[in-house]
Amino acid sequence: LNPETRRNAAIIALVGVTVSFMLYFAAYKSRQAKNAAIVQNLIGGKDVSGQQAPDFELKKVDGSGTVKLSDYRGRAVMINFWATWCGPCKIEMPWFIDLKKKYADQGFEILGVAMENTDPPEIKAFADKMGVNYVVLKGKEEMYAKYGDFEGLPTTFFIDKNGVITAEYQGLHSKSDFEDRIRESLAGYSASNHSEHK
Amino acid sequence: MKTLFATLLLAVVAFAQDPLAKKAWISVSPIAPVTVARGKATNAELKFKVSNGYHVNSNKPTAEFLIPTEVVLQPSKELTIGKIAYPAGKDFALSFDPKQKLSVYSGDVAFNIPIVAAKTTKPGTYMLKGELKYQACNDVSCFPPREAPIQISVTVK
Repeated sequence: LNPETRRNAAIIALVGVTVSFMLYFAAYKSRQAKNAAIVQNLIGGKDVSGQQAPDFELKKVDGSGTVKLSDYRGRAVMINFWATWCGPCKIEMPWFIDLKKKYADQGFEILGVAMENTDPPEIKAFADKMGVNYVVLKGKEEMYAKYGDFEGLPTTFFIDKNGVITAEYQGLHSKSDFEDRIRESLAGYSASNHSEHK
Repeated sequence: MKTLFATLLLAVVAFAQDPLAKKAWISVSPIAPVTVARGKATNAELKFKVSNGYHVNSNKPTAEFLIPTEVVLQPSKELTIGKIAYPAGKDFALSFDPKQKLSVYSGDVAFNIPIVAAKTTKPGTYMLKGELKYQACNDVSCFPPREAPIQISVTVK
């Protein structure tokens, strides 16, 4: 083979390998996106279910001090990341008020974490107007990274009595979906439970 | 050969980027340059497209706390920005709450930014800089407020 033919063959091989890689990668991403949408309810970020919930300390919007997640060990906790400017967040708040009333005596707690720059008194006024009966905290930017770089609000994590994340919902889901996940978090994390709705 | 290899490498890197990392809810078109006589007014047209399946609040949202879409331009000694006539929003309701009507922009959106050149402004080309502020949602999620940079080249004659 002369040098020009060898060069052309190398170019064709290189282009072929690159195109094959791109096709393979496209197929992989497509599968991943489908799984994320249908199976894991994740819009973006990492699935952190089954992991120990990262501890945090945040200020309460009513100015009465701070709250640490680890203070709630021994109880099932639902952490709801939300914002006053988020329409879907507003829809689920009345459901959470009902669910808190229904499951509080079984050791269930809700922490609402407002992920926005709004001043705490304004967030409190909003929560009061909505009739919120659970603790509302002022979030910090670092919470996104702490909890798997979740995308968008609302995003809700369900944590069992041992501090393990049993499920994550990004975006609005139905009230019955939330209730099912709360029951599971009260029952405790198990891999089989997780895989059922994962 | 080296150029081809570099091009292919760049293509692969760009292709392999996680689409979520650079997700933008709107795309703003470059604003066409405008010309205005001293002491007169003109309009610059701002056009943007909201990604399929998403919406941003109109300039007059229907509920308290919702963040309006608005243009904020840096003050200029030579040019004055007039009152922007933002388009009315479309009625929209989330599927989980069909009764609550929201006022949103979706799809293609365009409106004029009035610009006035003072009689004392020296002829020349000036660049107005600023941003389009918006906050996007889809049917089940909302995303943090963002600012898209904009600039308008204004030639004063």
